[in-house]
Amino acid sequence: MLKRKRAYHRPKVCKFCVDKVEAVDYRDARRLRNFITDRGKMIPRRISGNCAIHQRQLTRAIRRARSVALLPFTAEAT
Amino acid sequence: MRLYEVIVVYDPALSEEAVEGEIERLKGLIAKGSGQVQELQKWGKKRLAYEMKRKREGVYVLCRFTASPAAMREVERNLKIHEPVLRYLAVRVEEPRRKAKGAPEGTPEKATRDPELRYTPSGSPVCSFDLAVNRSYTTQAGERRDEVCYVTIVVWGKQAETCAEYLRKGRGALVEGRLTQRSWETPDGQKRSKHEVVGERVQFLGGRREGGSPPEPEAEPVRGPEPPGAEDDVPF
Repeated sequence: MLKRKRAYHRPKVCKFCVDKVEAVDYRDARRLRNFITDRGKMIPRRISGNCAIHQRQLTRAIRRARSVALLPFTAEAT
Repeated sequence: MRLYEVIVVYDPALSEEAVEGEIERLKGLIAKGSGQVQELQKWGKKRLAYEMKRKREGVYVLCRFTASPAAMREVERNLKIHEPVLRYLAVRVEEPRRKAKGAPEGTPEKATRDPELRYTPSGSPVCSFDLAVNRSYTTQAGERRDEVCYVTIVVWGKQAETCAEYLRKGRGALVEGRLTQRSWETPDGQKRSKHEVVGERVQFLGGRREGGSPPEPEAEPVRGPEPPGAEDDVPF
């Protein structure tokens, strides 16, 4: 018997497309935070479901935001 | 002149007046390169996402301005060596991508009359209609004006029939094609000529509305539950 690997999965949608965002803003740290992990790593688009165009913009935005300390490069050691 | 955006993070130890002074300094720097400040935002003291120079906070200032690349280099050089600046980020502001060529936002090309469908003696369909192309511009006095250009579109073949069926006066369409000149003689013997666009690809814009039969919905096939047993038969 075949094992059903995925029973049912909801189709993922790009959150930026849904909100009709034309250009991902690197200043909008609050929104960008949704796309990084607790450790500060970017979430790949196979997980977040973003489209290629927006993921590319997002990558750029996160990198820019990191460089002016709006976002962390990594979680801080405690 | 290019549009730039700079975020400067100043030392949190600066007093408010000192920050104002720093902003003036930055403005002076931009003005020296004959740039123009378009927007200035003071975000105030914000917590840094990570420690910089043993500091946990920074005073954020955002500035949008025009400058030539050479002047920008000078501004950046100054920010780099200026002690109260903890960190800065300078980026060039890029224009948002145009959605489609020749289609300004909000004013799609619209058909100004219902399409006319005819057939050539050999039976191939021809459809012609007029499209209004809008362009808005700002006059020197600063007024917004609209300029309209009417273009006659001719479509041949199968697409002609689809156009005749779905296009109506006032509906938007995007046409890709080539320009042709057609000349003919009026009944009183005058020579006349006209430029027309022979549409090779016509994309209807806007949703289906009243009038005419609705276009075929381009719905994706709905993935329903798979028929039972269809997959279980695979012998591995």
